[in-house]
Amino acid sequence: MKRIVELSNYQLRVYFKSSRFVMPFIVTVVFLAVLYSSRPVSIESSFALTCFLLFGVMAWAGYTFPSGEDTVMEQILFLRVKSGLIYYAGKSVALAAAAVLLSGFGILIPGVQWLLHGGMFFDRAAEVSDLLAALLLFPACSFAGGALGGLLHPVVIPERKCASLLTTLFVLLSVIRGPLVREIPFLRALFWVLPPVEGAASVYMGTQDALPARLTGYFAALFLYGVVYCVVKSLICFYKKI
Amino acid sequence: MTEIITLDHITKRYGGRTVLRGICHTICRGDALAFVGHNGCGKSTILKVIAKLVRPTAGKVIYHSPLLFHYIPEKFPPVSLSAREYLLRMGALSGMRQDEAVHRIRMLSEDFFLEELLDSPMQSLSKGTLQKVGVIQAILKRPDVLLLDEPLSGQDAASQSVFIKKVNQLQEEGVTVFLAAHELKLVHAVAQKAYTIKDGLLAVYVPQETPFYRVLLEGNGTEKEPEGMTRQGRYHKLRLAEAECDGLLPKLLSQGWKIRGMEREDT
Repeated sequence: MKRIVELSNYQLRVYFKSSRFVMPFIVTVVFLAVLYSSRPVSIESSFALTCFLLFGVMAWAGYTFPSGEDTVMEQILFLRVKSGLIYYAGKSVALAAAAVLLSGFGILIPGVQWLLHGGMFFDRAAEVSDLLAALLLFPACSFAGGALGGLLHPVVIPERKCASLLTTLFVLLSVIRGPLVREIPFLRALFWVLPPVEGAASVYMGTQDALPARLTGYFAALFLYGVVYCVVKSLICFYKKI
Repeated sequence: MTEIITLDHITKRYGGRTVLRGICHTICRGDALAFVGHNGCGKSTILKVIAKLVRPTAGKVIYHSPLLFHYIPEKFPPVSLSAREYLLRMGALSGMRQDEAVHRIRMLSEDFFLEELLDSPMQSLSKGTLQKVGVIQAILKRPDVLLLDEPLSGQDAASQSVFIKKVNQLQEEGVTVFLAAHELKLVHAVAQKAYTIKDGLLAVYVPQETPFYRVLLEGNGTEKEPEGMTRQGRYHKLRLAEAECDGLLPKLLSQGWKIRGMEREDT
């Protein structure tokens, strides 16, 4: 476990000291600043938009995450940690940590506005369940997005133009998957491979009592999708590289 | 001698080309083996097969106990960290305590004349300096097996000597060393056994039977130049067979020539 943490720490340091994270970071901050620039803001719709933003931005970050990887450096790290499992787990933990860090902005910016406006920022009084929603929804959407972007790793799809188009397509389809499936039901058979991000818009619907259960279920589903994407990518990388 | 690795009928093909053909070999702890040969003969491939970085097309590599491999590549790639930060991270990944890693990095960077560049971003370092970082990361903590793939490329002469000394020290401590190199000087300095790979097969490397030496001499301009001597800058160069050296060199010294360098030709 210690080596997984050390490896993810190394991966994060290398990532944050490169220029690859700058654009996703700027886009996130600017979008959130604009979204929370006027009041009153609807909690439900702003949270759903933040979920979609974090999903898309992390898909972008996950897609560019491996672009700084060097085969030789990977071999050095691989030998040092002595295990493929530890190596790929470390990379996945780094991606999850980046997702959590980015989703922190999704909580920080509206939180600061809420404090600055003496709790009168949203269209209704914010409750503990809203904080719980943000703490569960944002990291889950970020991680699922990052894992989806990471799935199109250069080893999986060497043609990068094709990979960038596919990333964009998958992100869009994930966000509009619900309405599409309602219109064309047979698409359900294909779209189950995409994470259910569109659910962020409907998680507040229904009784307030069942909200924690819906949030937990939604978080678990997105997290599971993220984990499965990471495992699939790692297996493909492991078997294609050596 | 404890056996640590067995290569069992290893074959490796890239496309239609067979680089390694049914190689069987057993490696013991503390062995120092070198692979020499022309570019593309399979030297680096066999190193990577041994470390399981490359999967053989047929056959298997058997480790008789868990082994820690460290690797010095031919071209050490930079990352977006300073050399010190990178080495500290590598120390932490190897399970070293922070103070232990700091101490070891300080010692090794002094040995390799790198102290002043430790805080520079790796992307701004020259090829030779990066290679030194690559060497330090590999010997920061003692591995069981050290893989050296043209490890001296771009390094200055003083660092090369330090490197050879360190590798020999490690070998005395029981570290197994695999070296892929063109430079026979390094092969002679590090390896106990040397092999070439010909048509995918491992063959014992036989050095040139009658070694020749290149001797650099300096004269004051009045000495008679022996036959075969050529000018090289301010010095004169002479190519001598080993048997000729003992007879001719004292004669030249007595005539006023001064020896300024001597090198075996196959190095």
